[in-house]
Amino acid sequence: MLYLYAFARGLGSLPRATGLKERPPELVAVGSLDAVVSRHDRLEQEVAADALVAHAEVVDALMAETDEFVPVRFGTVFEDETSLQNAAAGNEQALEQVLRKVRGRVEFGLHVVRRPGAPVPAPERSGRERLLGKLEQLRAAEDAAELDEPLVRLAVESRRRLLRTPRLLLSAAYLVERPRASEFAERLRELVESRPERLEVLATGPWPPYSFAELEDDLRAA
Amino acid sequence: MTTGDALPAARSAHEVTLVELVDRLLGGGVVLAGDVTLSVAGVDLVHVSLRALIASAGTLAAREIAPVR
Amino acid sequence: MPRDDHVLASSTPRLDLFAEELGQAATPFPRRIEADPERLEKGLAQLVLTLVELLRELMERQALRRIDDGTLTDEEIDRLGETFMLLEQRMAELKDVFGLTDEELNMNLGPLGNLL
Repeated sequence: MLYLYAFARGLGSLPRATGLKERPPELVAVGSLDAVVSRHDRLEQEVAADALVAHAEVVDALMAETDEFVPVRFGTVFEDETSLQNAAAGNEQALEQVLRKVRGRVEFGLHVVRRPGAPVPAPERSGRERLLGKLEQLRAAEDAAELDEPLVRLAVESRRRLLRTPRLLLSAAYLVERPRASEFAERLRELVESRPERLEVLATGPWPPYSFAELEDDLRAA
Repeated sequence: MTTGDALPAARSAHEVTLVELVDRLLGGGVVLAGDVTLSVAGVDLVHVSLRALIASAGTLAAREIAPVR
Repeated sequence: MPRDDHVLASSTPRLDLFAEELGQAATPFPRRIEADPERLEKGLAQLVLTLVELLRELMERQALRRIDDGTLTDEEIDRLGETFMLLEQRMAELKDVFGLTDEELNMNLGPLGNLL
């Protein structure tokens, strides 16, 4: 069985990472791309911390080796090389499309929460209170969203999600050209330092471009 | 940061990274329909099993720090 | 071990605050419409309820804008508030009947992000 981490093009050497269940990453030629995989006799695995970490480490190591790769979602397993090749061949155009989008780009993340002690809307008694509570939440989220305007302008693309929980006002992901990554990181640090007192801000990254490596339709096996 | 703070701070960084990984690895990346999907605890993953993920990450963190002493 | 050098900067050493909220918010699975014919009924319910949720949310947003603008009377705010609250309760009951979660009702619109 082949566990799939990513597709890459023109990869000079293997990513330096241990791999899922300590099975080393290998390359399997798939059309004009290389599939980065690990081989297993059998694979029954629940989603668990060590598995996620092993997957992430392979893709991180890949990111250190090359500009030209597409991260694949956790948990994609093929019976054998033929099956993997068929799946990739059947989706060649789509893979090219997403490769073009994320090539040479990295992802950064931002999360904004209300500081503990800052009032969080209490469970409402009446319909009116519920509605007004929502208004207050919305205003807080919009304030939080204004914070990242300079980042949105610097990024190739961004995703913002407001009000993920009553306290988590904003979560955002940004796709950034590699040459601008250190400038972007600097802006993130500035934002973290200058944030309004009632908010706490967390910046993460650089990540492989997971959140932007997607297509309109999920890729189907051929 | 004093050594007294090292364990909780390290664990928090692990937790955050782990949660981000859940979000990115299960919510992102190209979705290619494989022959097999690794089994997932379903809806429980977020609330119940996430605690288990964090607990196991905490154990890893403790193992890292112990040898330094 | 998780590489926590992915943490770039934080305004607080209390990263557990973020871990807590992100853990609650984590939605690991893509939202798909159930197209399997064996589960068609649930798939239809999923589609219909998603649209109802969308409408409810749009109407609520509209009401909030009107409250912000100050173009609603107190009585109107009361009535709208009660109606939306009842709608929310009805939706919760319907979701329960069909065994649908909030995640299942969401839809990914690609570059536009999520529907709800």
